[in-house]
Amino acid sequence: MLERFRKDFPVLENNPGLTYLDSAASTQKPAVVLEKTDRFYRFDYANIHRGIYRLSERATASYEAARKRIAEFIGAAAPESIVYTRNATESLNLIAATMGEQAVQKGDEIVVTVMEHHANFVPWQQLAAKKGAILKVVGLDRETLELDMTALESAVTGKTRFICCTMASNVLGTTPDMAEVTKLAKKSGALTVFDAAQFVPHHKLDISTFDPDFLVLSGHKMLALDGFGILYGKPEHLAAMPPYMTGGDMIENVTIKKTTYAEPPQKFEAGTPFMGGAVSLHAAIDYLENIGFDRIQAHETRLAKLADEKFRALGKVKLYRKPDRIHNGILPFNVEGVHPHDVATILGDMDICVRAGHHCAQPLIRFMDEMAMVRASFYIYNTEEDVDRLIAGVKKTLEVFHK
Amino acid sequence: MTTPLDNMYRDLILDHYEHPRNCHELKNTDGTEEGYNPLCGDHVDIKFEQDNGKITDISVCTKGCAICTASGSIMSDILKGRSVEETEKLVTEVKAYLKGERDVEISNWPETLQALSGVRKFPIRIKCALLPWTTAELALKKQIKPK
Ligand SMILES: Cc1ncc(COP(=O)(O)O)c(C=O)c1O
Ligand SMILES: [Zn+2]
Repeated sequence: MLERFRKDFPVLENNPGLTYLDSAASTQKPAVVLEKTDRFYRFDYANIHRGIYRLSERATASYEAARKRIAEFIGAAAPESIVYTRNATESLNLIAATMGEQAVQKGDEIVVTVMEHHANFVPWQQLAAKKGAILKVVGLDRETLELDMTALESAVTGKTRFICCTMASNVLGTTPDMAEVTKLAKKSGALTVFDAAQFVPHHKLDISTFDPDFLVLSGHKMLALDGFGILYGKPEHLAAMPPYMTGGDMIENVTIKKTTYAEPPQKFEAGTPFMGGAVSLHAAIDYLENIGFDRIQAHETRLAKLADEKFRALGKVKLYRKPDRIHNGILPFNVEGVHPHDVATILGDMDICVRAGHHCAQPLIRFMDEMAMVRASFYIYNTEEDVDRLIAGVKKTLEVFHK
Repeated sequence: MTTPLDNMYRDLILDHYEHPRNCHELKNTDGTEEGYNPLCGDHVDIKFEQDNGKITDISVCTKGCAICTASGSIMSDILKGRSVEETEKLVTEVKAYLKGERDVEISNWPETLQALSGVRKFPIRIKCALLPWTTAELALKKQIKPK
């Protein structure tokens, strides 16, 4: 039973009666993450890599210790393959603007899935348009809502430069078989870009098991501060890619005529970074691993399935996932005859926080033949009481709409 | 006691949501505009017909939430037969009232329009209620050609 973890989260403690079911949008922060970040600013803060004094050395040490910890956490051999960004969105734009810009030519193909978040869709769509390349969108199996591997296999050709694929859909919770995807990519010579933003809050990631070329994540979805994200790139790619932004901290030597760039990852970290973000992600990973991902998954899946079961008993709720396919704490639904936005307003009025709309995944919503959906997303700090309140909220919604 | 929620989702609003009025084909379309609210995906499609500065027919087709759909439906009833000039004034008033920008006297408004007042307690839903009105305003501004 993990219900005791709620007390680790000050926002939940400070808002008694709040049912927070929007962790897939952003998670709350445990006290230990806030405290460790606070301590960094109180004791060790200075600009990194610049000051020749002890304080700056300590700041740099914390900043780089985080990189080592993050590399370890995702199973990357070299800390230098971890680039700090603002979020998953920036990481993806960085890849498209550098490696994408170099690798994609007219007539080439980029393969994405229909369940991508716009962050892993629009940059590729725009790159394809700019280069005269072809964007291929692979669908899902209508029955299981899993990635259609047969369609993926036939979409990938010798012209495919990138396969861009989420590791967990933010709307459906669907998790594709990453090893299969990379196998296809390697056969065709395509590069893989995995969006792990919704995956890492729930799983121990070990990239050595599927060997991606690139992988991105956002700290704020896994208990760390907002505004700090990660790009993992294979060292040989990072070495070959041009910088994304230029300026301070990323150079080796600047003369009036010419600039040479620092080695990765500094090459991609122009300007003073968000040091507290790195410290917070370090602390968040410690916290999560200390609980253990098996327990996290068991807890959130149990709650999501419980809600699913109660919705089925209630009727009048459209559910999109079969119970045995509920993953990553994500439960999408709709209330019959009520627009998702109205559902969210009524739940919100009861202090039940859910997301409603297209979830930045319009191609998927259209694929599902919906205009919008409601999403309840469960995480470690949720409780059975949260499930009961969600059900009560939906009952109230039906009442308000005389359904 | 009526709660702010009940006040927003009152029966008149729900009736217009369940049975939106005036979504139909027009004989002659003098102006048209589509509006979109990315937050909840509300989509409204407005067409109107005018004669001598007067709206003789209007079609408002909404795909969206209860508030947007009801607001569009209520608006369609109200604008039919109004002059373009009056309409523009009313749209300005509705916008100011819903946004709470300034005091607007609403006692002389049609009862159906007054029913939208419950939205004011739900700031992020004001956009939903406004979408048909701002879209109508654009349709009138951009596309009307005086006959
Ligand atoms: C699957 C997925 N990818 C990418 C993102 C973008 O994350 P961020 O907004 O932190 O860049 C999200 C956020 O909702 C997401 O769910
Ligand atoms: Zn709306």
